[in-house]
Amino acid sequence: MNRHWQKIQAIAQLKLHMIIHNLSISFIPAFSMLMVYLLRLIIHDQSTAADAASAMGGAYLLSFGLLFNTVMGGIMMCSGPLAEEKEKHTLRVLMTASVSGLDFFIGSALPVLVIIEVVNVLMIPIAGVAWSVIPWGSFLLISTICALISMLLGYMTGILSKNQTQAGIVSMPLLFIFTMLPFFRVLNHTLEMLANLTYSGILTRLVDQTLDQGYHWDFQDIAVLLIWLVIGVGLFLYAYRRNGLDSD
Amino acid sequence: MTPIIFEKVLKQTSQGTLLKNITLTIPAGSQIGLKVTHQESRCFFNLLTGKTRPTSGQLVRNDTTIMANLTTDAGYPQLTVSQYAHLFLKLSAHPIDLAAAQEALALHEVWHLPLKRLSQDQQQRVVLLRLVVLHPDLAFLENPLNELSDDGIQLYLQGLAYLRQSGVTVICTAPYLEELLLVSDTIYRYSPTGLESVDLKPDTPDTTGPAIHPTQVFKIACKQDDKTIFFSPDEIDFIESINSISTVHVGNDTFSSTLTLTELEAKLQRFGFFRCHRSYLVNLQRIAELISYSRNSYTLILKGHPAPKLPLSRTRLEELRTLISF
Repeated sequence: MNRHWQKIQAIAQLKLHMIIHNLSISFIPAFSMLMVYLLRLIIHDQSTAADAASAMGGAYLLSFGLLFNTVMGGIMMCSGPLAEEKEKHTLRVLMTASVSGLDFFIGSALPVLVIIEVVNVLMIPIAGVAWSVIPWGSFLLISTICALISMLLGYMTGILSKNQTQAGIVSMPLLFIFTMLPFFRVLNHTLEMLANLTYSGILTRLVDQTLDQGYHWDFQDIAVLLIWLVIGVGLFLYAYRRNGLDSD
Repeated sequence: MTPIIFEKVLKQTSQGTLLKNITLTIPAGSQIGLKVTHQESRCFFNLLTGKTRPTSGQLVRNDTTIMANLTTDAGYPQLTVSQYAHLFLKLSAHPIDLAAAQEALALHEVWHLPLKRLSQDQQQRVVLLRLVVLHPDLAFLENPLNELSDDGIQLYLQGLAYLRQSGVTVICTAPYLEELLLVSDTIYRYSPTGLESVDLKPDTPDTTGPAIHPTQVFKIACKQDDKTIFFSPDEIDFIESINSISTVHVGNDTFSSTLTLTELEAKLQRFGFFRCHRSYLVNLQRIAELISYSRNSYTLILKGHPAPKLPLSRTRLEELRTLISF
């Protein structure tokens, strides 16, 4: 167990290093916080009504930030480094150093999950929402499940891609669907209905309801999250069994 | 490590036969060189690691841990040498003295530099450092001295000796014999008929009798860029005259010779070469088949993949019959 934990730690440190030094990936969490801050300044300037408007602005900004960070960050921070390792043939070297596939994925996922969660928490004050109104248990649980689903989708695209460019292209439709659909849910009822069937839609529902009447778990939210988690695991396992980690 | 045994291994892919008739035993602690092309090297590596299975033949490799440095491998450019070493130290179950390894591999000056700032010489020694840290049963090195400077080669060889001290078996592959001579104790050359051992026994002067001077030494000199490459007659498949330039075919590679085909014929006749056509001089040891596609045309098919086909003049058929008695 200790040996495995030591290997996981080594992989996690390596991945953290790779994410920090890859600007196209590390910019996502930083950019999502910056965007939310800038949008908040714009909305604050235009908002004249006090509480209602600021609550609406807060929900919009927080949803935007969480979607950007959890979906885009989760997918790209997993697919990019994995594709980079395959492109540079460093993954084969790691795998021959008695690192199992499980060690590799746990070690790779840990820093990404921590980054996403820390940024999601920091996003709350940046969006102008008080920490006291957040139902922390539900918030952390839902954002963690959503981050895990995004990461599974990211690993799937990384496994199916040969290089970083291909990973970017393959992940584009996923980013578009899971980021844009909940974002444009306010435009019409059909989009809202569809958004509520995506895992990222549940994240925005959490924010909307939290800042409206308070969030309460319902059967649909649990079912949607579980179904997407199962789909994510299934797609990941399918890609892993089909291509393996180190396919040429 | 228990010996790895290849017994008449053949590997075919959709593109044809890549390796054929490979019979080889890799004992523990040996340092073997294989003169093979890049494609053959990769095929051998995939067989060795179990990534692909032989099409036919037997391969016994038990639980040998194999680690490699292939020409396509890259490191983590952002990591420093120290971070790279510590990464693999955490992954390794084998305790080592990192300071001693740093010293033996002459990496102390670049220890805190990122890999992307190292020279090719230093990067190759960092690869050796990884192997020293991970301590596999067998290290597979593809073209290890490629693009190294003279000093780099010297330091690399010191590092390789340090790696071997810890009992690691080493296999090096390269397309050139001169590279393998520096890094191997035993060398095998792959030809379409299989692996042939290259005689590396050092010449021991015979002090008991009169000095013997070799009279049968002959090499064909070919020019390539600013290098002159020498081939023994037995390495050459055939020589072709293209626009009055003699082109020497060795495996799948071609080299230009400064001699004319007639001059080469005169020199190579006694080594079993035969002028089968006005434009072709063939090594008779390499011929596999003679085919007559029509009454007056004959074709010689050589061993190898793809098997070269050479025309045989009708007038020279009788001469060939006399030479090889068929």
